[in-house]
Amino acid sequence: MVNVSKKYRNFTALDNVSFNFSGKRAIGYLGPNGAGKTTTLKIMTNLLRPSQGTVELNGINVNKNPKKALESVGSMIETPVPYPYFTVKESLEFIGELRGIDKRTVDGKIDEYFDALKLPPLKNRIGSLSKGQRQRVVFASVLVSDPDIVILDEPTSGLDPFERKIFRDFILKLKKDKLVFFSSHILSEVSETCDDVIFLNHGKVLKIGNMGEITRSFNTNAVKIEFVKNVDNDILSRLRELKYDIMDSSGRTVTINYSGDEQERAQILINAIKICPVISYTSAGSDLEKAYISILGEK
Amino acid sequence: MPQDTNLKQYYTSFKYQLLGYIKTKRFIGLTLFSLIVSIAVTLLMFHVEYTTLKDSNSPTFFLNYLDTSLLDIIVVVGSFFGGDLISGDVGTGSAYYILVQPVKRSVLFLGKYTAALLSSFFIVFLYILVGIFASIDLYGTVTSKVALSLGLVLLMVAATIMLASFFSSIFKSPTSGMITSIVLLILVFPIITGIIGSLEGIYPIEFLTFAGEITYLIFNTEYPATKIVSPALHGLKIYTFNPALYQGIESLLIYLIVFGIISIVIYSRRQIEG
Repeated sequence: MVNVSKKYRNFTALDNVSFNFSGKRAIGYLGPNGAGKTTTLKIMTNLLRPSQGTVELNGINVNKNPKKALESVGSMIETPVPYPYFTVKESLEFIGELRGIDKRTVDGKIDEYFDALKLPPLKNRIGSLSKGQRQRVVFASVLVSDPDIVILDEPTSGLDPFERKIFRDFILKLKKDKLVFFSSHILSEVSETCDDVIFLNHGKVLKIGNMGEITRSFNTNAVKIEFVKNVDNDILSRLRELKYDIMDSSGRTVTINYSGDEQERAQILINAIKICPVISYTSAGSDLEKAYISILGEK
Repeated sequence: MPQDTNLKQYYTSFKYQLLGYIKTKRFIGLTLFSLIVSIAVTLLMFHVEYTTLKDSNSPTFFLNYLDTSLLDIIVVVGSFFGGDLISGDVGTGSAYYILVQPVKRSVLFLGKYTAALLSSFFIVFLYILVGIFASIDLYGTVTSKVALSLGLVLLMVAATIMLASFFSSIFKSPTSGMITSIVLLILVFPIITGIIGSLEGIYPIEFLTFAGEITYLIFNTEYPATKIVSPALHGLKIYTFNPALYQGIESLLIYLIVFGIISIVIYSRRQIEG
């Protein structure tokens, strides 16, 4: 994507957005509502034309030659609705046939995804399905053609935790042999699945980078220790003897501020275990969340 | 990834749209509507003028039978099938399902259009079929002009759906295209042709419903004159126009081609802004 802008009269939805990704990986496209995420994805799938700039998928300009460019792309933008009079099976067969995939392969894919995506009964009409069920059918239709590039627009938005887990697990599976590009504002989802991340706000790309590097640079420098029993005065005084900066303590957990040095972080754990058995030891707060808030300038 | 040709994609679009139509309440409802109207018209004609009909012949029967409501049936059916052909995609969530596929929108449109044409023609054909049975019952035969009429009906249906498709390309809501087409073709066009034709003496061949009258005028023993001027009454001449056969065909073809091109261009260039 090179210098892509999208303008509507006096409003600039996208402003000189550029990025380039290749290989097998998952890329998270992060930004608040109205940042321009969906506009970007719509341009990437030729639902919108850019006011300036070019978008290429596998080296083919998607706005000049959409048919060719989209051949290797499966996408789920906004809330797609297959024709309501189709059955689940017909919806998947239709897309398969439209993409020139033979019926046997399509049937095989349907069998494969039926359990994996917990699809509704194949004879059910689309019009009778819940939003989550419909979303899974559309996702299956995205995968039926086995595309090289998968573009998803907030795929878990409005879904229940069970359905979100299905999508998250699938993204982890897909990124092993595809390029998955998905927008979201659910930070935990992005941090768990993505290798790279793009931060977008007010139509501008604010930061692009490797997930690990970005989260490290916005390390929270605090750890949360969960002990096997409630934190009492004895535990607190022994931690203070070690000169630890205790930020918070409640119930069985205590949060300690530290320099950010990994050796020091490890030593805190070693010392904590000596004081009392530890159940869990985690970063306090999401590193990605801190990066998100810091980069987007929100509180 | 398998590649596919435009022709195969056209067939896929056509096949699934047709399968979809057959299952819809719209198709079932319009089929029943066509059958009820055709049977009602036939029974009424049999009841009111049976002796006259018996003394007449098959072409005259068809002229009277089709004149009654054929064009209205075509307009209603064509508007229902064409009025949401494009807005049904671009104005709903289906856009995100179908328009992100590697298929030319023109190919998609033509497949859907063919399905709409076939479905509509089937329903209109039922209306004519009841007339065929009635003609056999009355005269033991069916005039061969029915074949030509069916061809003209197909052209009229095709032009009507294309005009409705044009409205579906400019409106976002699927129902707007249907309602606009029906109101325009059932009310506005006949009123305008009535005024400019009868009173102003202008030959209204540019109007679809007027041109469509050729579908039944061919049943006349001699094709009627294009222009008839009644004697002046209080200084006012009243004109009666009939569409000339070839000019009627030409007009229907123009509707089909011009609105087809415009619809495809709009559909192809339409952005999905949501």
